[in-house]
Amino acid sequence: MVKRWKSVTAAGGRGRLTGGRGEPAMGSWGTPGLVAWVQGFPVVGQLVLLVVLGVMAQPLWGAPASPRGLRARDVRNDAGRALTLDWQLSPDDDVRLDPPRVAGYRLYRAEVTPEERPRFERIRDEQDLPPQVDEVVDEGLTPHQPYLYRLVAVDAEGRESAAAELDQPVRPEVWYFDRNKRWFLAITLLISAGILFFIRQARRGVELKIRKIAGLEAVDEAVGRATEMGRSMLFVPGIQDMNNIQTVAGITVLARIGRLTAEYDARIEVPTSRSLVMTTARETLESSYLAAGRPDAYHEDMSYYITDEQFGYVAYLTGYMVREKPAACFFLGAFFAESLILAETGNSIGAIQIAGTAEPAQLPFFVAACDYTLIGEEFFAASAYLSGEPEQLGTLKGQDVGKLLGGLLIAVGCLLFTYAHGADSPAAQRAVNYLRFQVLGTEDIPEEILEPGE
Amino acid sequence: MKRTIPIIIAAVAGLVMVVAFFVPPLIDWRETAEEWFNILAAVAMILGGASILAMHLRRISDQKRGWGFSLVTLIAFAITLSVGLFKVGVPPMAEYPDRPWTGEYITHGAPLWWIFQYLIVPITATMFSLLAFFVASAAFRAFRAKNAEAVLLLGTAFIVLLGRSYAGTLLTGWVPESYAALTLPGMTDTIMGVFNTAGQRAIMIGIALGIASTSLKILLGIDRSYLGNRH
Amino acid sequence: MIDALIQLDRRWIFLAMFLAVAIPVLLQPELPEQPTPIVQSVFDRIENLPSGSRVLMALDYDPASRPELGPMTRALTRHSALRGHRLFYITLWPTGVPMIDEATDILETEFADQYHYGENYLNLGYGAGQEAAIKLICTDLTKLFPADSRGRPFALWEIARGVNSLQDMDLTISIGAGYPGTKEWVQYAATPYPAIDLVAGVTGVSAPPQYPYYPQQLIGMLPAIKGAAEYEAALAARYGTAGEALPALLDERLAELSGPQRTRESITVEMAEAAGIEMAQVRRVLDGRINCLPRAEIKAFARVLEIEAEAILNAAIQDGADYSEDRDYPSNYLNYAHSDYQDALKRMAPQLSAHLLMLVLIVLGNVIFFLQRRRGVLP
Repeated sequence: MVKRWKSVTAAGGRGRLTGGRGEPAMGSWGTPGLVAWVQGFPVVGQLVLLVVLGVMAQPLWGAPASPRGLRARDVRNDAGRALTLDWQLSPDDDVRLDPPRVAGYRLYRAEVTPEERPRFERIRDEQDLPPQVDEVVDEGLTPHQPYLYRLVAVDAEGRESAAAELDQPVRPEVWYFDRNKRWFLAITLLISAGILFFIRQARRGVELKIRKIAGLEAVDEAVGRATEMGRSMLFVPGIQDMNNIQTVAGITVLARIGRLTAEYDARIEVPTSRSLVMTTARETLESSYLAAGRPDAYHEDMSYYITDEQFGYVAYLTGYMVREKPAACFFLGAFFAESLILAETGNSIGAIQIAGTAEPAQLPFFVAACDYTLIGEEFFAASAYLSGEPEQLGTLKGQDVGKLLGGLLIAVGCLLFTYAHGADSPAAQRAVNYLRFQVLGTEDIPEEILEPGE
Repeated sequence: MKRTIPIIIAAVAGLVMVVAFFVPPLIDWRETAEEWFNILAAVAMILGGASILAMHLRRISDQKRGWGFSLVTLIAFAITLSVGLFKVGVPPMAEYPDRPWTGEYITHGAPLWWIFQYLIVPITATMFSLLAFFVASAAFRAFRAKNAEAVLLLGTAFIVLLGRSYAGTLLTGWVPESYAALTLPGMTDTIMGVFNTAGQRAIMIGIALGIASTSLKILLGIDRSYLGNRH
Repeated sequence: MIDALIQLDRRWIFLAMFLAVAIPVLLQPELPEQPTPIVQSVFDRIENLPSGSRVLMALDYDPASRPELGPMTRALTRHSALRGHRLFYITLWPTGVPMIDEATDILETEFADQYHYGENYLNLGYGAGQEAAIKLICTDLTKLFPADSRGRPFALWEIARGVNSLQDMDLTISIGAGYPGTKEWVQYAATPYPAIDLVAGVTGVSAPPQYPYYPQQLIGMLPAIKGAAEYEAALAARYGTAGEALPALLDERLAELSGPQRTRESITVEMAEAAGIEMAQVRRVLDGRINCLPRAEIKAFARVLEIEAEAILNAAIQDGADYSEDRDYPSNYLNYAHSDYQDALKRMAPQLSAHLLMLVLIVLGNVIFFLQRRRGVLP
């Protein structure tokens, strides 16, 4: 009986304070406190008390053995909202036992405050952790607040074992910088600096050579032809909302097309599959018409909403194409399975078609059925290219810095990997792992991966 | 002013998103920004609905060609909206039998479920199936051996089309196991896993850089054309 | 002739495609399939997980892609159920909810004895927020799904025990048709959280861009209906029963019993009913899949046929039925080599003829192209 209490006391957790900045232990509660209390009585009194306590604790005889070695540590690189707890399984938590002795683990948590004794409350929404689990992340905590934990094993009847406890409170620390992302930040800054450098160069009047993009050269031609033929133009900004950068890129091209349309006095229709895209397209067209000096020619009905449903939208668009036979079709945005249906229908009515998307899967379809296709980055370059403004063109040049960096990393990675594989050198293997997990990865990587064989 | 405020909003929201990626305590701000977008998009839904109503009502009142279809659209719109919104025919949840609106809006057997199962499902599946026909006509029209690159593309297409069907197994099934890479399915796997992957990665890197530079332009207010032309 | 081809109306091509697909659909010839490594790795993963593992299936597709992705959802559900895994279903598409129902229907019918809602499978329904939703459940599932689709708090279900986030799943399966889909699961779940094991099933159109993720971020993938067919073939090879010795034994006996007015079918139905076999099971008897019946029903059937029960049981075992450990049901209760369970394999014949038609069209297109060039019509 006494041994049982003692064993629990001995198994008291080795709670560790992060960075040594935690509060000192605030005294003991629970079973260790109880033992101290019992020891405060005379010997005979101790014996009597132990018998009484033994009777009171009778149900505990059937309870499973307690888990041991409860530890808590701060979760690194987070907002100070979580702690990781780990422990050694209860000796009764054995998969070979049938029926199992341990049905799960129950975790209690207490906030430590100078004013009052900590009050332990069951956490995880009254749910027990399953057997064989020896680690859990407790989330939703208050930053810097010290916490104490108590862990018990429970059996199928809900009987709790004696508790494993932390002997010192632990505080979740706030990390003001995610250190796992330091390389990511460095690369981001490098690419951004490259872009900003070329914007500066362009502002200073340095000549930047940008290759011709046929698809964008053809925009003027398409608008001109629609005007000559007296037919409308169809602009489709994809099927995604404004939070997709492709939709934004599509709308920037619409600004240019809208202005040409106003100047040539042509007609354009922009049916959308998202309400927000409709309002944005209206704003854009209105400004374009204003910029072209034709605010009177603009009317709201140029852009209208159809439906969020992908194929409902496609049905409208193909129907429109077949009925109205627009002279030019622009498909600029995020497209999915509808790309070929749209492009083939446009092709069958003989419209000039210019497409642009960053969905790699749809590019082959557009290439096959459209006159011009802006492939991925060309599509994002469209706005800068069409504006012809030097500072926008500078951003295109800046992207080359990123490409250079990407190429360099690929080359270094390939050589290093090949060498490490062939030479069987641990140092090279470490370098490969560092490149893979630290430079290119953003997560906490276990030491054993970084230091193989150690 | 009308231009400045949106640019400031875009810059601040974008900056918060970027910084929160590196600074954990700011994650809440990022989530708030994302929630704002969802709320705005939901409110814009009303504008979308109004746009549909206005467009079709005008067509009907002008008696434009095909105005009957606009009428059908509006009736379908009204029926679906009201059936879904008012949970018509939806039984209450088993736990709350006396609360009529507690049931799931698309409960099995309810009118909205019926609309979904017997109208939307077959109609959208039909639209998607049209792809097969358009792929065939595109293959006939566009897949021409105009130059050396096109011939390569054509050859690859032949291998993948055969390798991805039973024809591949049938034609090269006799090839011994140790030369499996030379069978049509084997070559298809190589094409998809090596050449396709290499190309896709290159395109993805280009796209990622394009996104980075577009985002930077918008954050810094260099490109404002999405708010209308700056001149 | 050439002029006619140049002027060819597209509708003829459409008609040809219609026939190329419709005829094999109606004739249903069966074509064998071999799983490729990328598909086999998905199969091996599910097969090798210990029974009772947690598997989350994200069905991010809508009715439009259901014909292409439905078969793999069904095959993966069946395989997981055969292995006794615990299944969680979610969708990030509002129109994906009925796709979940389709999958859980399989558990409620084919696995009704073993699978009970909330105990070993759960429908969490639709989660809004696209990639933000994925980010959220990586660390806390209940933030996005506080309750299941029936409105009961997630934590109260037995299956939810010990499940806090996506990282507690032993396997995550993304079956996706677009955005949000497999790409987002890779970018926001599998890549940042190494504890999340991801496999995928995708449409043919979106398969090529996913290949770069295999085998690092994606353990395996079922590309399009072909991938599903290969999976079904793997499933049939492992869980199918051939059914050869059994019909011979029964046919013999039924032939003895049948007279001029009684066909094999009518006598089978009659005997099965006399043995008290349920109508749903009678169909299995008619299909020669008696090796899927519970032991008790086989014994009852043997009694009315006046055959030794042991003889039928032995024949069933010889056919691959697994009655080991004195089970009431064979562990391979349903014959997964039967065409009822091979929706994707059935589509391989239409796919083959459509592919062949495409090749013919490409060749024809090029013949026209070269003839035109020779005539000087084209440069």
